[in-house]
Parts: sequence; structure tokens; C-alpha cells
Amino acid sequence: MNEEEHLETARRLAELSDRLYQDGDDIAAVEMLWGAVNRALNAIALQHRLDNDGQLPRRGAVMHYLISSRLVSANIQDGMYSARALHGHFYNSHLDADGVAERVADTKSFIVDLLNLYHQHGRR
Amino acid sequence: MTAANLDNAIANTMQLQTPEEYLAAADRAFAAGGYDDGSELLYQAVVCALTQLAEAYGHSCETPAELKAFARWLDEKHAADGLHARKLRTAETFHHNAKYHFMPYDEVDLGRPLVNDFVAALLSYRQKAARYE
Repeated sequence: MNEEEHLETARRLAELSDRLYQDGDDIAAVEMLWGAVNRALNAIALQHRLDNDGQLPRRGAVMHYLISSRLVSANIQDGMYSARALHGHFYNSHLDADGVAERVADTKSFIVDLLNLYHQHGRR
Repeated sequence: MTAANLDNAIANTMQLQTPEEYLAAADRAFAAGGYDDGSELLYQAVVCALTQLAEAYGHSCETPAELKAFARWLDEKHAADGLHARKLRTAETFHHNAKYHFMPYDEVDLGRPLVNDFVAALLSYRQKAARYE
């Protein structure tokens, strides 16, 4: 899968998440959003040639690269931790409805930031 | 970490009284490979810092809901566009991770400075608040 395919999948997963969330299936919705974060990070990893012959780096390594390269502020990571919390919620159902809603908003904003970052730098 | 071990870790934190002590204890826990203990202690550092700051401003922070409300109050006070509430959610992710283990170690390590920086910001507010007491 190339970077544009990862990006398109990120967008489609985010849209699917919106529909599921509106339908009240918050557990499935948050996992789709987690998938969208991962696909967006994959696209950026490929854009910046962080892969090893197509093998993608870990999320943490991508975020570390973006921060240490001063492409994003460290505060953008709060979005990743909200996304991570939603992924944990998928397995453990540990968040209440408000907690889910707040983290869904954080994560959607994080995805927008990642997509904007991708478009600022263009296809490799 | 078992529930009993987590209870022990929390019991051990009862002797800690300042955010700096919680952060130092978190550092020691992480250095010893205790990611669950370290994650919980980082969260407790935030809770301690928020609680002490809330007291300085005459607020109560005895429940998670009050912590959240005080973080929102700080957002309004500092025109921070939700920053403090987001930082509290990040700290809560560490708290939940201590129990449910959904974060890999590299992501825990990457996020530790975020939580440390939040505590440092809260401590700086506390110093400013003290000047007006």
C-alpha cells in the first residue's frame, strides 16, 4: 500500500467512524478512528522515507521523528494519547460517554493535523 | 501488574506529598522497569499538582469530575483553548494504562515529558498564585 492509499484509507475510516458514532455504536466508531490515526501516520512515515524497504516504523518512532525534526509541536501528541485511550476503550470499555466524546474530538483534530502536515510536504 | 500489586503501588504513594515527589518516584519506577507504577505515579503527580493549585484558588479537586472542572477553569483563566483539559486527559491515559496495559513502552516513554511539562506548568501557576495570597 502506498502513501496515497494509506491516506485515502485514513479518510474513509474517519468518515465511517463518524457514521458509526452517530448511530450510537461508539465502540466500533472509536476503533475506526484509531485505524484512521494509524493510516495517517503510515502515510507520513512513507512520505518521509521512515520505512525500511516498505516495513513501516512504530507509531512512537514516527511521532518522535516529527517532533525532533520540529515538524510538529510536542503538544500534538496529546491527540495521539487520546486516540490510544480510545483504542484501549475498544478492549476495556473503561471510559464514560463524556470521556469518549472528548477523546473523539481530540482524535479527529489530531487526524486533521496529520493530514494537513502530509499536504504541507507533498508526495515524496 | 496484578490488582494487588497496583494496590501496593498506590499505597506506597500515600507517603508522597508533593508533585515533585511523585515525579521523582515515577522516574525511579520507570528506571526500574516498572511501567505500570511509573504511569500511575505520573498521573498522581498531575492530580497532586492540580489539587494543590485548586486549593490555592479556593476550588475543590477531590473527585475526577472536580479535577476535570478545574482543568476547564484553568483553560478559561489562561484562554488556553482546552489545553489543560487535554493535558489532564493525557495524564488519565497513563492512569488507565497502569490498569489496562494498552500502551506499548515506547509510547509511554514518548509521552512522559508531556506529563512532566504539564506538572511543571501547574507548579509555575502555583508560584504565581502564592504571590497573590
